[in-house]
Amino acid sequence: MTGQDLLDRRARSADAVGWGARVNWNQPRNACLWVFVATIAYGVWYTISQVRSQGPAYGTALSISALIFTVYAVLFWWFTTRIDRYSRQPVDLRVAAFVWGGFAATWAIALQGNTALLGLYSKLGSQQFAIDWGAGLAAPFMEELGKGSGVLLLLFIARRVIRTAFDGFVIGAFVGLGFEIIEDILYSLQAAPSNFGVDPVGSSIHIALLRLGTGFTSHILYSAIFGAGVVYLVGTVAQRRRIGRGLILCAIAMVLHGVWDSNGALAGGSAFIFVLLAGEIILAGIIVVIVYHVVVEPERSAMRDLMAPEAENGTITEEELTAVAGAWKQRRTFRRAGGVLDRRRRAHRLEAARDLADALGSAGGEETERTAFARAELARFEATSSAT
Amino acid sequence: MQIDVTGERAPAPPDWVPVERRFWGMDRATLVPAGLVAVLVAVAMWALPGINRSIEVEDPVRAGDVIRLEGVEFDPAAGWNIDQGLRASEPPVSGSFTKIAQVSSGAFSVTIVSDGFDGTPRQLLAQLQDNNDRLKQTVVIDTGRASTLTNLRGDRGAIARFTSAGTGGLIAAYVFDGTGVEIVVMGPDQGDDDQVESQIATMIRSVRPVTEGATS
Repeated sequence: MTGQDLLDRRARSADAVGWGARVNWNQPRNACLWVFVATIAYGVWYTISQVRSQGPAYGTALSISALIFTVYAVLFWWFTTRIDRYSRQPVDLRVAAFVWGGFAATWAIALQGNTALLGLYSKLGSQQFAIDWGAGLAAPFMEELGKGSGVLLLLFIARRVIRTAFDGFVIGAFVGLGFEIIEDILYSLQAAPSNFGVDPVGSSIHIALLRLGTGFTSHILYSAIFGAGVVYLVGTVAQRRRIGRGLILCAIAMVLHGVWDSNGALAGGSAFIFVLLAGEIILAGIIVVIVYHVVVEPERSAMRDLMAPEAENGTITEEELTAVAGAWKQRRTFRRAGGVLDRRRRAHRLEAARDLADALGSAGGEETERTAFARAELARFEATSSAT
Repeated sequence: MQIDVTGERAPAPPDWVPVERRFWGMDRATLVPAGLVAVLVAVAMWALPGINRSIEVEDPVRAGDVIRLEGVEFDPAAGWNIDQGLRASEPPVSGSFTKIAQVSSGAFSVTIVSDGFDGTPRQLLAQLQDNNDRLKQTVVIDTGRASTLTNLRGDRGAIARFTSAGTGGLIAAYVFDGTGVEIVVMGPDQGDDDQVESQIATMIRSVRPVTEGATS
């Protein structure tokens, strides 16, 4: 392949995966944007009304749980941003996903729908049935569809940005994070009046700690899988529609959620529940890693296309190209290959190569001042004869 | 200002929607996903709650039924309707009973809540009033004129009247070894139905802790 072929391929790949593209929030002809804004507006209004009614009574409990979950949110925000290593989602899109999960999916869809479904299960089945299986048969539908609908709307609002199933995976994770945080704060607030309101702060913290321990394998994980499924179902210019795969991923998220919410009944009230919980956490972890590896491939391929001309012109080595477009194993192998003394330099080279990829992607593969600077930064960490 | 009349086509601005792709001014491509989500919101916010409200719960108490909550149980009057709560004879698979139960007959209802509490029944009534004050509710429990009541097992509780905006009723409390019980009776103030009053009194006095290994 000639140098020009590589450059053409770079430009096509950057465009296909929407590398560096920005979201235009001024789209008055976009019906998805109106539904997105209106539903969030309702959720924000509902939140304010809840805080105004419960806040004065349980203000301390609300503040403490909000503080605990803010730290938790920052931690998982960092983690989810870290896994988005390739054509990164712009921060405003991540914030929009978080806000949909936290305010629209929770209050406008999940809370109302779950409450009604639980009532119906109780009336059409029995109260016993509703207690045992109600949550497991309500939440997977109302919550996963509620969160997934945010990914669907954002897919049509940010059509030049969300292009691959991996984008759906990342956006879904941010929707799930928003849902998780706001739902956990609500649960903590709802726990405040328990034990007849004798110790609202203690009751809230108890629930907060319980939710912290099980949070990661719930909404963030389910929504990431569901979000990837939504992109497969709809299809984009970079990802052809694959209905079967999309349905399977959405179904996996819903089944995992349903089983998790039915643990009490599945264990029959016995200590077997701990075995179930541990098994489900491990299973969910394995599934999400497999899904991640499946959906990330086009992004890695785009990274390779973007940086291949740099390997061709000697800016980076083939070994570095493999590492920067590879998984953590390849990156680790590269960092360790030069021994302990060279490890830091090699890590800087990889990070600088990523910066160059970002600059090239944002420029659509064209040469700009930023790409020239990023290339110069990369050169600062070139191997010297004493450190190879 | 100069207008380009050469006929050369300028590049489309980002997110420009060509006229032939519009429907009532909106981008056709966005209508289906927006519609799907709008339907989901409508189903969750209006359709399902509406269907749920339209279905009445009809679960009349049979003679001998016992309703169990977390840690306590009581004997509901036969013929009353179980609005919320589980019979002790029909435990959930998870083994976890609810913390609230409600039975009703006509305009009367009896709601029972159980939860952890360390203190006396009168302290529980005072705590409930504190909660009302904290939430700025208009409910006022006449704790100063609370009376003592005794259940069929001989445990002592407290009972008082409460008033709220345009309504009122009775509120009773028991505490059984770390488990508090709140019983709220609502109904018409000028009610003169001796049979209902007797049934309510019997239900309040039947509230008792669940003893280990109890079956009903």
